[in-house]
Parts: sequence; C-alpha cells; structure tokens
Amino acid sequence: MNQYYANQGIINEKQQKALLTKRILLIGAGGLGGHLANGFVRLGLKELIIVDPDVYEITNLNRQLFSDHFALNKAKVEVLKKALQPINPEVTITVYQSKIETLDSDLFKHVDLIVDGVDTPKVKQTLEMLGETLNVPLLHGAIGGWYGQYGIVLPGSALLQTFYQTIPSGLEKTLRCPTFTLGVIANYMLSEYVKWIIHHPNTLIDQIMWVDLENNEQHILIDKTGDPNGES
Amino acid sequence: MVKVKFFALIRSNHRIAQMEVESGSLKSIINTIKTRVPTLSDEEIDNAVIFINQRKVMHQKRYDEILKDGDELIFTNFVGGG
Repeated sequence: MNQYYANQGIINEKQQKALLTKRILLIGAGGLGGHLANGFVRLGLKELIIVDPDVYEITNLNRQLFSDHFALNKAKVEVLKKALQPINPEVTITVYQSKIETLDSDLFKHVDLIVDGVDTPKVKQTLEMLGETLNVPLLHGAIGGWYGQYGIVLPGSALLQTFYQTIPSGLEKTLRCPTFTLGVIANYMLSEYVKWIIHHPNTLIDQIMWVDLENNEQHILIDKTGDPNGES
Repeated sequence: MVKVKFFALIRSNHRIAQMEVESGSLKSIINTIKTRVPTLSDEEIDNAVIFINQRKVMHQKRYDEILKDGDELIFTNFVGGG
C-alpha cells in the first residue's frame, strides 16, 4: 500500500499514475486556494505551481486553510509550500509571490490545467484568457455567502467572459465568504478535476453549476457544450 | 408557459422558488412577477442576472428578449469570491 491507496476505490492504478504526471497552475492561495492546494497534493500530482501576492491577514482566519495566528503577515504561498510539502514530499511545489498579471505566461507553458482560486470576476476572466494562451482548461470556482459555482472551461469557449461580462463583484461583497462554502466548492472543483482526468461522462465541461447551500440545491446556470460561439 | 426559477437574493428575501408565467417578452414576464410578488423591488430585478434555457445571459436591464412556451428563466446573482 502507498499514500494513494484510499484514492483507488474510485480511480484505478493507471488513472492514479495519470494524476501523478499532472502539472497544475493554481492562482490564488486564499479561501478556495488553500483547500484546492491541499486537495491536489493529497490526490497526488507532479508539480503544483501556486501564485498569490498576498500575506495572511487577521480576516483570513475564518476560512483560509493553513492560516493561523503565527502565519499573519507571512506570504500565503510560502506558508502553503511549507505546510504541503511534508504531506507529499514527491510533489514539486513551485511558488510565486506575485500577481498572475505580472508574470510571463511562458513560465507556465508546461502546465496541464489552470485552477481558479481568485476572488474577482476580472481576474477570473484573465485566467480564462491565460487558458486560451496556454491552450489548457481552466477549473473554475467562485463563492459568495451560502452560494457557489464551479465548472471546467475549455480554451476558446469564453464561458466566463459570457458569464461575468463587466461586473466588478458579486454577492461575496455583502454576504462574504464562510469557510464551509469555500470547502464545498473547492472540493466540487477537485471532484470535477478527477472526473476530467478519468474521462467521466458527467464531467461539467463548459457548464457552470450553481450550488445553493441555504436550500440544499444545485442547478446548471449556463451550458456552452457544443455551442462555442453561443450568444451572450 | 415559461418556468421561472429564483435563486440567491430574490429567493432568500421573498421566499419564492419558482412560478409559471405566460410566454412573452422578458419585460412583460418581469411585470407579471412584480404583480405576483409586490414586495419585489426594481433594484432587486436590476441587480439580478438572468439565464435563459442555460444558454443566454441577460445582464442588467436587457429585457427585450422574447420567451416561448417551455422556456426556462433563472433569476440569480453573481458570485465572484474565492
């Protein structure tokens, strides 16, 4: 038995090996990002690249995995690297304490997937464009209050551009970000990632799933499957 | 008939999950909804984002769309946090 033994009830050995070849670019090391980074390292992968310019602040402690009172004012990406490496010493963890917009996309030419852990619609759309540049999918997620959404965006679909257009922010501005909604959405994202790797027919590709924890419901908001130039 | 579903703020504030309305323009459907839910404000409608048949997205005040029988409308709000 190895450290991936308990993954292998739903994925086979070959699929686990496929996971272990993946190089993933995670942008954002906050609420979604902490949960996502933890999940990727435990699932197993080749390289996790984490990009985030921020240090931990007191208001992060309600939700951000690996934040604590000793980590205040420390770079999130450095804290994550230190915490994650002992969980899985075989993973290469590369970090950039920077905004994604200021980094050269050539740094990420080798990645298989971009992961959205950022907290503004504008940067989410920037990640979608980066996905087009690198020709890799974007694993999207977002939350506000009791509500969240997630899905996989293929390069060229412009799904998030259609979706958010020019709005500066959503419900997170007033309803903010509780830990459980972030944990739920981050883990739905990880589940879609695994489904994508194993070519599961129910993978949410070019669709956005809405999650309502207040009423225990889910619903697809938008579906661009087979409609790459769909109207907006 | 057009099936209208309410998510997020409208659902939470007015305790309505869904209703069926006569087909017609989005504008006329919004008027019907406002008649049935008198506490619903114009601001709440304007702040909502509207999805039609999981295909089209209508942002603020783009209410000229025509809905047919069997169409589905969702009124919700954006989330963008992480």
